[in-house]
Amino acid sequence: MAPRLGLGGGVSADPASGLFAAAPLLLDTYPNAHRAYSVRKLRTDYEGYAMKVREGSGMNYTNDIAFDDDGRVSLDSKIYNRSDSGTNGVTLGSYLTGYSNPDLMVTTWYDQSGEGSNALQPTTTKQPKLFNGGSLVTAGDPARAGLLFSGSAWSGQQLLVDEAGLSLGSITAFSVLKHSQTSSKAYPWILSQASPYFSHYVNSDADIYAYDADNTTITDPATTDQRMFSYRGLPGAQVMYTDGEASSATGTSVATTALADNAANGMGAWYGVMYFWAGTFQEFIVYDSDQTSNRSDIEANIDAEFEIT
Amino acid sequence: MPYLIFNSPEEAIARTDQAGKDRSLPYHRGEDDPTRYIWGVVPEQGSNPRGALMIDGEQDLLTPTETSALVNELPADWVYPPNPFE
Repeated sequence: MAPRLGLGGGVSADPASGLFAAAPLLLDTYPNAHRAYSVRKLRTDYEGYAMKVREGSGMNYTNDIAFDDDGRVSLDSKIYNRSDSGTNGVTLGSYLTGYSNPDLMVTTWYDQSGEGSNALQPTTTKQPKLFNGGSLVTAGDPARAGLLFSGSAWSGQQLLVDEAGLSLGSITAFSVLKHSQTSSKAYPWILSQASPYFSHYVNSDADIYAYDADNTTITDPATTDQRMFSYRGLPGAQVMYTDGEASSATGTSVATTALADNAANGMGAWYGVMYFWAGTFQEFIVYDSDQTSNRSDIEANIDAEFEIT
Repeated sequence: MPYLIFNSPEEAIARTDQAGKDRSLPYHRGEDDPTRYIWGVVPEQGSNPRGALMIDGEQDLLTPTETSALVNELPADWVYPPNPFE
């Protein structure tokens, strides 16, 4: 399901897109990402929405959420493609005025990479939240919108991501996320669940980057602060960077194996059945290429938006 | 967590899809939205896998027979996917 423009009433999905022409966005400067999900607009010529949500009142109405004039998801974001036949183009804040303590579940986090591979969840109880009990989910300072995962060992939320086209040895990923807990095992993301492994998991107060069949693990002490992670996946040189700082351990795998196909690959759980993650996800970008020379500049771009460091 | 056990993952998927139809979820209304299932599916690993539904809500959609068949844990002989980090 590709993001679409064709909106009712001839309204543009992003009326403010022209405002961004003068200020290059992350994927304008560092293009060719293979997957790109974010609560901010990442590419000037991306004309789709940020995400599709389902309201939880029982009617299960859905709508698409556009980026606001600052290129973010916020209460000022306008909504379109309303299945409740309401007025398109109202703000997210005003849309929810008539609901009591509304929840909004994310059914689709649109891929801004241009590959059209959206992150999806077809099961109601496994959809992360953008609104929780009447409040926009946020993380960080300044507060930016995020997707709330409320997992525990055996149940929780997950967004499915297709790993097709990604291989060890030529992969670089970036994430912005905030754990709700760090002591129990949970997977913020996993794009290859069987050998070779490619995932980020948290356990025993450590962030762990798992890579390849020999269980190469690169750990950093975990916190419940909002953090920016970069994952380098080059032959003989796997590194996880946390807020720009390289992990003390590095991986040495020389594998160039394609990631293992699994319908449960994605954000938030292991095999879709356990180790569900609890936290707030704000950005996940994966390149099918080496971005070592751009890493610090990409991190600077991320940090300029989320002000993490 | 209550589970409902099926002879195959396909049977479990069909049952949660039917529940989605009963609730008229967006996919079943013909909307451009993936939401179609009420309960999550746990597929067993192995050559003759069973399937389970995680009944974490909406129990009113179950038949009396299904409600009486709920179990609080997956069967002891359930085959889980391999986790290399255990």
